[in-house]
Amino acid sequence: MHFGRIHSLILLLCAATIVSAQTQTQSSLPATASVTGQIKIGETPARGVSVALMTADRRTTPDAQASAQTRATTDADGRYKFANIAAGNFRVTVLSPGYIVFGNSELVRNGQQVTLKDGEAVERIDFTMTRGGVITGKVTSNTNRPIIGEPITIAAVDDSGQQVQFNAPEGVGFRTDDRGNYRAYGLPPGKYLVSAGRGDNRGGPPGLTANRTYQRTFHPEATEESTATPITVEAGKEVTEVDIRMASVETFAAAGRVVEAETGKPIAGVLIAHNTVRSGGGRGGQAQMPQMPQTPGGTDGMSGTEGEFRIEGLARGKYSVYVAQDAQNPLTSEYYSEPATFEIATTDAIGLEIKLQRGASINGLVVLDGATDPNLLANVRINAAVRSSGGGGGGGRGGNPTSVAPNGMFRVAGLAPGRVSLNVSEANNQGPFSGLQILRIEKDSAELQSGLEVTAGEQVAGVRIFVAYGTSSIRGVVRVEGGTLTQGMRLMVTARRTDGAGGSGGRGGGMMPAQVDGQGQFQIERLVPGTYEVSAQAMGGGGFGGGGIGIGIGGGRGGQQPGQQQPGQQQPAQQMRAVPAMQTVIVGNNATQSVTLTLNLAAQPTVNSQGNQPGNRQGGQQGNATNPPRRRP
Amino acid sequence: MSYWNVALRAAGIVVSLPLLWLFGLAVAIQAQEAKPAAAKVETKTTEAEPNSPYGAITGRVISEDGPLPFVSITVLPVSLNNQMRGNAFRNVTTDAEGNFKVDGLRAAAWNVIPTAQGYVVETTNDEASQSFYRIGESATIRMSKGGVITGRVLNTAGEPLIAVPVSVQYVRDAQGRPGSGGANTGFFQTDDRGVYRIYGLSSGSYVVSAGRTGGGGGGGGRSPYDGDVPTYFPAATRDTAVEVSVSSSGETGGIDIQYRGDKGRAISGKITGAVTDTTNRGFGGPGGGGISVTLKHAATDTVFNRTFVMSRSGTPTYALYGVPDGEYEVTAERNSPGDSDAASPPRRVMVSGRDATGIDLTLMPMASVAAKLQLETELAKCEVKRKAAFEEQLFILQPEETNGTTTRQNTRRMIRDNSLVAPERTGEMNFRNLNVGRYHLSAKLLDDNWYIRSITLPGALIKATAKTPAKPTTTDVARNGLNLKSGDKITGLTVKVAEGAAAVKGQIKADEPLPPILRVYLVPVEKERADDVLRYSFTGISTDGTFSFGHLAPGKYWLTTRVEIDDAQKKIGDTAERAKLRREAEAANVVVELQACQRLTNYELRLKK
Repeated sequence: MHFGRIHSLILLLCAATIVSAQTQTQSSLPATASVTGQIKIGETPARGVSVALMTADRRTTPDAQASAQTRATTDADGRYKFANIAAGNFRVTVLSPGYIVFGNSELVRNGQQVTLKDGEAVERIDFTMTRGGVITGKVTSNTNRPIIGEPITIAAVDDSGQQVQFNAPEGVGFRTDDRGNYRAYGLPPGKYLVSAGRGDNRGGPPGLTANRTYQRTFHPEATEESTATPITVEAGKEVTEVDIRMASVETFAAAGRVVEAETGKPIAGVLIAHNTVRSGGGRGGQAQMPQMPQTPGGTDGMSGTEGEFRIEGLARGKYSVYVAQDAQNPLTSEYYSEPATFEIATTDAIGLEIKLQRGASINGLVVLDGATDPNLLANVRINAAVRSSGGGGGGGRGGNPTSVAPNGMFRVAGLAPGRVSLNVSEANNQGPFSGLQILRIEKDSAELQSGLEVTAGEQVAGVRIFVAYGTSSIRGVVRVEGGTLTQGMRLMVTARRTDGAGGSGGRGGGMMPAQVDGQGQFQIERLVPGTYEVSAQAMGGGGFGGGGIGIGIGGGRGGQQPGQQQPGQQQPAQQMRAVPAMQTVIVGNNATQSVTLTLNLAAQPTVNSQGNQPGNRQGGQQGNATNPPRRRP
Repeated sequence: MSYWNVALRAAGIVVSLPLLWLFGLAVAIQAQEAKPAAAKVETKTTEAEPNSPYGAITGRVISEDGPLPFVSITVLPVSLNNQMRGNAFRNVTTDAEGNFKVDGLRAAAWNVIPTAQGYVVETTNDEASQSFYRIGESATIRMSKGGVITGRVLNTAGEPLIAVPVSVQYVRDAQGRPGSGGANTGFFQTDDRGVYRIYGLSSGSYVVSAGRTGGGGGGGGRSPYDGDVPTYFPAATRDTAVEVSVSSSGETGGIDIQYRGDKGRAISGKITGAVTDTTNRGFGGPGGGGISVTLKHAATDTVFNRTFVMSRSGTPTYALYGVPDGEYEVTAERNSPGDSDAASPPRRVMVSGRDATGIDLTLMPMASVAAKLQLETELAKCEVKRKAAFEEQLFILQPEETNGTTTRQNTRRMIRDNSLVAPERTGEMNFRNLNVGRYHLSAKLLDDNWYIRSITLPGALIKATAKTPAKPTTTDVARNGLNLKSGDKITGLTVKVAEGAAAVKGQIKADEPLPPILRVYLVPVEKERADDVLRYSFTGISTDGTFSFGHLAPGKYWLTTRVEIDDAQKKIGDTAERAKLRREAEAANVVVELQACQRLTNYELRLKK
C-alpha cells in the first residue's frame, strides 16, 4: 500500500529547507508542541490529504509567512500530526482542491486557529470534507467556433439573484480548452452564474489583453448579468451542458484630423492616442481601487499628410482622442492638444478634430546641491504636470520628461494654461527611488510653494529648481494587529514629503517606496531633510503565489509571458486590505529617523459607495462541523 | 515601475520567441519573389531616407480551414536600445476574412506577432519565418491548430490528483533538432478527475511534467503540491523523462504521470562583486534594477528556475528552492536601467540529497559596444519603389559558442530585450549587457538590395615614416569577431552596407533523397576575397530541396554543399576551415557570377555523389 512509504506521518519540515536567513531564529526555539487531527470525506477517513500548519505570529510579509509553513499528509485513518512545533499561534489548513471543508468560509480560507504552548499537544483539529460540485459546458462563438483559452468565472448568487461572496478553490483557474470545453469543480452546493470572458471595465494594457473580440457572456447567452440563467449545483453533483454562446463585440471606427488651433492648418506626423472614458463605476466584484475616469486605450498611429487619423476597432462607449506627447517630435513638444471626446453608439464617429494649441513654456536652471559632478545633471529629467485652469480635463501636459542641458538649463514647453507642478526624476531610473529630490523651487529668487500658474502661451523664465541627492534616512518597523497577513499579501511602505519642496506639492513622483523585510522592518534612504509622511499598507490578495519562473512581471527582464499567470479568480491585482497606518516624521540633515507604524488589519477601508462591496457572507455553506479543540496540558 | 514598463516588458517576451530561431540561421533568407532590376551606376551620395515617413503593414492570417478571423496582431518596432516609447506598439484584430491593416506606422523593423489561442504559427523549418516587416509590406501568416497532449496525473495508489500544474517543455522540433526549451509553465492544471489537456503546441517533442517547477518553495502557496519537485512523464526525473511527440493539429493521449511528490532541495549563496549599480544611483531592487539568479539544468541547458534578489543592506544573498537532485548551472545577473549591467560567470552545482549552500556568485560588469551603420551609395543603385531606412535594418551581436559542440543558441541572452538592435536614423546603434567572450555581428537586412561591405573597428595608428604619413589601421571584425572583456565599452564599430545586393534562389537536384541537414555554401572565387568572410554565405534547404541566398555582394562565387550540423559561421571565421571550404568549392567548380541587383532564380544545383 502506498502509505507504507514514509508518506504517512512524515513531517515535512519545510522550515528547514525554506526558511531564509532572516527567519532562521524561529526554528531554533525549543520545539516540543504538537497538533493532531483527522480528516474525513463524509464519514470516511481521507488518506493522503495534505494539511498545512502555518505560523500566525510575527510574520509580517508573505515571504516569511510562506517560510513558516509545515506540511503533513494524512494516513490511512485520515489522521495527521505535526510534532516538534515551537510555541506560538498557528493556523491549520486542509489543502484539498476539489473538496470542500464544511464550515464557515473563514475556516476554509484561513484555516483553524490554534495556539500552542511549549510541550502542549493539541488534538482533534478535525475537518470533514465533501466532494465539490461540478459545472461543465462548452463555450462557442455565435458562429459556432469553439472559444479557446477563455477564462470562466463562477459567481455565487442568492435566491434573489444577488451576487454573494464565494471562495473558489484556491490556486485553481478555470478556462476553456482547445475544444471550447470547460470544467469548474470544487463548488459548494448553491446557485451560480457562469460567465466567459472578462468584464469590459478591466484596465489591462492595450495590445496585450487576450481576447477583446468577445463580450463577457453569461450562460446561456446573456451579456447582462440580470438576464443570466443561474445554475443550481447540488452537493457533489455534476451539472453538464452549461454552454455559453459568446456575443462578439461590434466595433466601429473614429476618424478625423489634427489641426493647429490658431491657423486651422492640418498637422501631419503626430502620434494619435485615445482613452476610454468611463461613465459610471465598475460593476460588482471588481477592483475597489479608486476608479480611474479614463483608461489608456493605446495609440493609433501617426496623423497623415492632411492631418487625418482613423481609429478602428472601437466598441460602444465614450472615448477621448488626443495627440500623444512626444519629446522627440518638435511638433508636439511645443503644443498641447485639446482632446476630442466622442461616443460610439451605433455608427462610426467621423469628422473629429483634435486641436493643437501652442503651449506655454518655462525656462530655467536646475541647481544640484552639494554635488560637483556635472554628468549627474545629464541624468535629471523635469516632469511638468498641469492642473488645467480651464477645466477641460485631460488636456494638461503630463507628458514626457524634459532633459536638462549639461549646464543645468532646461526648457519645458507645450504647457496648457493652469497650475504647473514641476518634479524631477532620473533618466533610466526604473528601479526604486533614486534619491534625487527637489529642495525648493524659486522664481525670480522667490520660493514657490505651490506650483506655478501659467497663462495661455506664456513664456516663463527665471525658474530655478534646487535638487539634491539625500543623505538622510527613515528606519522603522511595521507591527501588524487585528489579524495576520494571508498568503499573497504584502506590506508596502512609502514615504512622501509633505513640506515645501516647491511645486511638487505632494503630487505624483513624490512617493518613495521602501523595502520591507521579513520582520516588517524597513528603511528609506537617500532622503533630503524635511517632513515626511510615512505610511504602511497591506496590499495584494490572490495572484501573487508561485515561486517558480516568472514571479513578478516587472522584476528583471526575464519576466513572464502573458498567459503564464494563474488564471485569476476575479481578484484585483492590488487590493487594499486595511486602513493604512500613517505617521509624520521630521528628518534632519544626514540623520536617521526611527518610526514604528501599527497596521490594524481589522480596520477595513471604506469602500466607494457603489454598494456592491461583497460583504462578509459565507456563501452557500453550512454550519461549523469542526470539533472544538480539546486541550491536554 | 510604471504601468507601461510592465506592459512593454511583457511584450518584449512575446517578441523574443520568433527571434530565437530566426537568428539560428545566420544568413537572412527572403521568401519574397524578387524581380531582376537593371543595375545603374551612380556616384552621388544620398541619405537613406524613405520617400514617405509613414505607412501601413497589411496582411492576412490563414489556416488549414481558410482565413482566420479574430486573430490578435501586435506590431512592435525594434529600436535602438529598445527605447520603445510607451506608445510604440500597436494592436489590431483580423477581420472575418483574416485580413488586417496597421496604418500610420513610422519607418522601422516591425515585428508582426499573431496571437490566436490554441493556434501556432506554422514555420517551415528550412526557411526563416519572416516576422519583421517594413511599412508598405504585406504579411501572409500561416497558422494551424496546435497539437494536444492529454493524460491524467495519479498518485502511487492510482488516485487522481487535483489542480496539479502540468507543463510541457519543448525539447526537439519535428525534424529532431534541439528545440528552444520554451515552456508553458503555470497555465495548465489537472481537473477534479486528474485530467489535463495541454493544447496549442507546435509539432515536435516535449517533456511533460506535473508539479510546479521550482517547487513553489519561497511562494509558500496553498497548493498541496508546493514544495514538491515536478514529476516527469511517466514517473521520472528530468534526466530520465520520456519525450512525448505531437504533431500540429494532432492529439497525443494517455500521457499519464505517476506523481512522486519528491521534495526539492535548496541552492543558496552570497552575491558579491559589482552588486551596486554605479552609473545609476538607484540601488538594485525588484523593480528593474534588481539582481536575478538563474538556475539552468546543465544537461539540457534549459532554464529551470529563476529568483529575484531584493537588495537589502549588506551582502545580497539568494536561495532557489524546490530543486531536484541533478547538475545545474547558476548565474547571477543585475539588470540596471543604466549602462552598467553585471553578470556572474556560471557556476556548476551538483545537488544530491541535500541543500547546496555557499554557492557564492560574483557579479562582473558587462560590456557594451557602440556602432555606426554607414551606407555606401556610390557603388550601384537598384530600382526600388521605396528607399530603405536605417531604422529598418536589424543587427545582433551573437556570442560565439564556447564549447563548440552544438549550434544551440544562448537562450537566456537571446531573450534579453536589447539583444536585437535597429539603428537610429543616423545609423547609431548600441549593444549592451554583453557577457565576456567573443562575439560576431549578424544582420537581418530588411532591404533586399543591401549587403554588408565591411564590419571594422579602428585600431592603433601606424606611425608616420619619412615616406608615408600616419595611417589608421582597422580590424576586420567580420572575420575576427569582437573579443569582449568584463566592463569593456567599445566604440567606433563601423558597419558599411552598400546597395546593389544580388540574390540566388535555386533547387538541389539529386537522384537520391536529400539529407535534411544539407547545407549550401557560397564561396568567393576572387582570390583577394578569400579572407573576406562577408563574401561567404550558407543556408539550409527546404524539404523540396530549394534554397535561397540574399544580400550578396556582386561578384563570382562557387556553390558547394556539405552535410553538417555544426556551427557554419564559426567555420567561416576560422582561417584553416575557411581555406578548406574554399578548396572544396574550387574542386566542385560550380561557378555563378552575380551582377549588382541581380535576382537569379530557378538555379539548379546537381548534387554529386
